[in-house]
Amino acid sequence: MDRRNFLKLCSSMAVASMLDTGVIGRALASQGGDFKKYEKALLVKEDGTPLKVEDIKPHTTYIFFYPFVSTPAFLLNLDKEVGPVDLELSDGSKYKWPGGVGPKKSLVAYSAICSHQLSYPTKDYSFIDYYSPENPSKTTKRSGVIQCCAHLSIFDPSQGGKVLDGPAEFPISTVVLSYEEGKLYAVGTLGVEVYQDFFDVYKRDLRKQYGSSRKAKKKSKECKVIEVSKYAKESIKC
Amino acid sequence: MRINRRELFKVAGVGAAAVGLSGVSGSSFAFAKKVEEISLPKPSAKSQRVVIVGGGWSGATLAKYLKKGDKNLDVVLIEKRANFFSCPASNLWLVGLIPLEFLVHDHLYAASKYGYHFVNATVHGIDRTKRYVYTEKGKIHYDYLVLATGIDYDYSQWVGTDPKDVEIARTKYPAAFVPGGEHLALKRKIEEFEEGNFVITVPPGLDYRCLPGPYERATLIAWYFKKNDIPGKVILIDPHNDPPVKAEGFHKAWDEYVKGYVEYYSNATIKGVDFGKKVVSTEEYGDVEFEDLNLYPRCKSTELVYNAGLVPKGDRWPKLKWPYNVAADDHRILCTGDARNHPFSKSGNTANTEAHHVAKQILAMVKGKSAEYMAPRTLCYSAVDSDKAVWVDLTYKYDPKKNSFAFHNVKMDNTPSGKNYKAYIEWAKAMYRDMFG
Repeated sequence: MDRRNFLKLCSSMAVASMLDTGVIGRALASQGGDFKKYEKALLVKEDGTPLKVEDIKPHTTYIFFYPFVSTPAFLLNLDKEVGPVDLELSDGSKYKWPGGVGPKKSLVAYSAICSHQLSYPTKDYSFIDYYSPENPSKTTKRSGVIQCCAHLSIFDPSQGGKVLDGPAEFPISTVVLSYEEGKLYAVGTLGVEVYQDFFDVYKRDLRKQYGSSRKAKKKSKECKVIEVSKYAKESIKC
Repeated sequence: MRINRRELFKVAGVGAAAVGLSGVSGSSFAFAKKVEEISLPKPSAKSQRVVIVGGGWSGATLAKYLKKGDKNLDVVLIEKRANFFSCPASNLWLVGLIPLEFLVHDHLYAASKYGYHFVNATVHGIDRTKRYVYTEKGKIHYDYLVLATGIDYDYSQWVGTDPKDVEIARTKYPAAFVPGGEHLALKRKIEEFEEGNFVITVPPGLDYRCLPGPYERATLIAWYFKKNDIPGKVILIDPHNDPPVKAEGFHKAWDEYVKGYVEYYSNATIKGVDFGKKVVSTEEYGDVEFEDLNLYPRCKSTELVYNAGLVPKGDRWPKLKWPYNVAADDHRILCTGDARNHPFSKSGNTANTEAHHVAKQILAMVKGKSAEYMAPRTLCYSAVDSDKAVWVDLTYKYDPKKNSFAFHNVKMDNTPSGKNYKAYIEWAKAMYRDMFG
């Protein structure tokens, strides 16, 4: 990790005061809870114009692909200010999640690849999804959570993707957003990444979809944001 | 390959050196003559070695997560089959809903990726004193040994002990809960069935592999008969008063989706099977005639676990240090997955999650430490139609005061739906990714 860049990033997110560089330093030697900088990618609407905060409906699941063109991420407006939290991994290492961004600090983004066994939204199905307060899970009764129906891992998007229940052993990783002059950018990730495993286990699927592994691993330079309900033919809720 | 004791000694070149192989008291297996040791390089000279016998849901998961947890640990997975064939989800394949490739996986990719040894061989003896396992390819030393050998069938209750009858049961009416040839045979029987009663038995108790398996199988075979206009019906003979899990979902299927194609004989006491007359004799329902039979008897641990001296006389499962998986009289041996009889459903998900926890236990043990006990989790889907499924998810809570387990955090969806069916498929794919990806 480039600490200088990270601190620069933090100041752009206006959360530098929340971040303890000592924590980040310790995380470097941990199982992967450190910030990782990727291409700075503008979030755009389907028509290619910059996504504005007011375009993001509360409690609606949006998908975009970051940090690679094939790796899905969720964008959520939690409709409330979400503050920073400390997260602890199973090896005892800790990292600080900076909280929401945007004028209300209500916008969060996470990898949409389940940290348990890598289920992710495809164009056919989405087994992992956000459950709004109006539509809680039928079986777990939870709302305001990201839940994966493959094995019922449940994550808290208001607390850095922390595991609330189920077999997942670590939080879903955060896609770090930066809010600058009314525009939203994805700038990196925070937490335990599973992208290498994702590329390994889905190699054949990704080749079919993107033409080659190399193309699937291209870094995102601009991210088109669409509603999951428009992206996937069916959302598998449980 | 399974060889008997005499042949084994012949292989070892020791003639009549009958030293305590018989199991109950035989905690040691001694060869008078040397057998070559298989050369398996260790990560370092000081690396401890964990040998896992059995590459099913438990063993394959354990091998991967031991190496992920400690690259310096030497891990050897010994499996008699060259390929993995999944029992979970196999009922879908039996009636043509998924391809064989869905169920079959190789051990080589994961062994290479995570750095464990995969030895395609059959273990036929264990020397607990010198800590060796013996295969037809040679012997392997262990610091810790995990027996993840799955189940065997106990025909004594319904078929008796006459070898001729047991052979008929095994070959002509295979239970098909140990994947491979038995499943291929059952698929052929389903596809060749023309008319009459297709009888399926459910083992008594709760210590058989896959609690909902026989019910799901009955439902799907009935669906297959209905779809193909086969004038037959499935008769399910069950010692239980109702399916122990997901009863509501199965009854809905039998009353609606496959009505007329399933007859459910609950609370049945099976007295025996007459292969000549082709009847299953019961106390409550008399002699039930069958045109074909899927005879699933009571389960027991495998011969290797018995021969290692881990199963008390009169029992069918190894004695372990409750609630851990460590053998009661040998801290170097663990039994995992369906080879043991913890009060958990014998399911793929249970074996997989247990193996995740056992990996942590062993990683602590090799460092002379102990890990906190964690109970496995059972997430279990069953198809109740060609495109609908139900599920139950639960874990178990150990109460040290009562020295027993209770169901914990139970969730379920007993309403058959297409979404559940799709989640079933994704559940299985994700499990295979976890073991082999």
